[in-house]
Amino acid sequence: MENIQAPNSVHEEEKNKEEAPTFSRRSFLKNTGIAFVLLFALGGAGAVVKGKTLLRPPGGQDEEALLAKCLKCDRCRSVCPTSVISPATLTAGIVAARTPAMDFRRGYCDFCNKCVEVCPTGALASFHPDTVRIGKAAVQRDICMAWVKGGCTICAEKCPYDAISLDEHRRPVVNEEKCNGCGVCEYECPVLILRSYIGGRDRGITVKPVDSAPPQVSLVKMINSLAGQGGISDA
Amino acid sequence: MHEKKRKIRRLRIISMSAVLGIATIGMIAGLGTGTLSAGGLKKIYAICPLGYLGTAIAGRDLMPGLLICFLIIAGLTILFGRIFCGWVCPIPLERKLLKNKLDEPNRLFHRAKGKDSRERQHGSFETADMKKQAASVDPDEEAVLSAVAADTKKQSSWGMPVLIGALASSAIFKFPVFCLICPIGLTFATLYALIRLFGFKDPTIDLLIFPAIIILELVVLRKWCSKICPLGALLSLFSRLNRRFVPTVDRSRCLETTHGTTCDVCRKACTFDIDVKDGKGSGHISECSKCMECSSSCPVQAIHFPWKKNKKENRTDHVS
Repeated sequence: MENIQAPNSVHEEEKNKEEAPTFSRRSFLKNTGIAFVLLFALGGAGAVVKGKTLLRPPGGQDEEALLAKCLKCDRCRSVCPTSVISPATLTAGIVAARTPAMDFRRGYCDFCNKCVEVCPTGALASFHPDTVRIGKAAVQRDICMAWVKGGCTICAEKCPYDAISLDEHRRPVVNEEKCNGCGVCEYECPVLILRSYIGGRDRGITVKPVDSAPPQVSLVKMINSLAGQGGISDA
Repeated sequence: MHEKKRKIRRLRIISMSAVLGIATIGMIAGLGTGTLSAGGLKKIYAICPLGYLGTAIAGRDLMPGLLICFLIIAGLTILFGRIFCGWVCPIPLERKLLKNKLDEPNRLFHRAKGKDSRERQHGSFETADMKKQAASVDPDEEAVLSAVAADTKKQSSWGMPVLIGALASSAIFKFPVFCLICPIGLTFATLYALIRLFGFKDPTIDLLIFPAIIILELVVLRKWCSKICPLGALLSLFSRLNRRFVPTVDRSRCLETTHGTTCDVCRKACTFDIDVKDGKGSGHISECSKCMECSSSCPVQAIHFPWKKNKKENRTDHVS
């Protein structure tokens, strides 16, 4: 078999066999060390740099489990019939980037379960339709047509769960017990058309993560209670 | 011969483009098909084996259904070798786009070879020419070969270290770390950023950062596929058991036997620096991506990819 080899290559092969193992083992250990440092730096950077809290599709409320298992495969976004799932961008943090998030300006959630069905890893876990909460709707009183000028009742009409009631001035108030964050109210809110001159992208009612109370709401509550109108938002 | 090379490359480009195209259509049409990270129809899908390991370790969950999928991919890789790398993965397409090269050139030779060997590589391989060349052994050739041999030892693979580092990091930080910089995943992320831009008029920072990472990996790091990619390293573990379509040299045709010369066209053509003749290259035969560059480059068509090992032929079944 080796009789066809040129003489110099036989010699070289012997040399390689002698020296290659020790050398490659040392360089393997060195490379492993460097790879560990780099990939731990990447993992550490991802763990430290926390982006803003995102609204997740139903079944993705356990944030830690979602980040651990999400492969960023795009299946949930792709299958969503209402296109409400919109992957987070890098502005949400390097780990959260490309993970599924809800954008209620594009659609709303009807809890059809399709995203959970196609999720390969169970990052979106099965959920109970009665208890799942994507977030909770909050009326933005400085933006909302009804609160600023009156006349609009669209969110209250469209809410599939009767979670929005109207106060004595026919202004929308969210019943947080009933709201599951489906986002129909935000999706339907016409304020950016009715009051297009105010600019911005936020609508008159927006779904917020359950855990983090937006500061402006508590500020509004404070002002309300000072003005003797407390209890409206807690109704 | 060059016609054959072009034909094989065209077939590979068609195969890779088809995979990328089907995934893109699925993304745009909203079929829920997914990407190479995990893709399929409804409940039937394949998952990236590295992504599986990363999520299983980060999530502390074996996910038995996916373990079966992982084992099927391992089995397919044992059967067909790293065919994914040569025919499915979209990264060579991007390299073609960025550097007009489908495969990573064998840098060992690009650095070591002299002027005449460059002529040999690009010149026409008429059999008569080869015979003439074979008759006169080039003294420079020896110098080139010894330089290559010295370089072979310096070559070090990063695939395994990156694979181990990525999984360890995923275990500690509890998310699949390598997915953040995986060029395959970022390819689809870039595609989605484009869909977002043109479909929803929503320009994102992703559209700048993701392609920049891919360019960094393919252009600056250069030897991504052959030396760094941890997915390739993982597939190589399985393909060590691969016994089908292993490039085999027909010794009765090889110029080294017929003319006693040193011909290294096949090794030069190989991205992974595999020497199919006698295994002297720095690449192990298990890394073979079945790209068929060696067989289509061979001036005497001595290399083929048989379904079954023919005992009469000298196969490179060595252990490195």
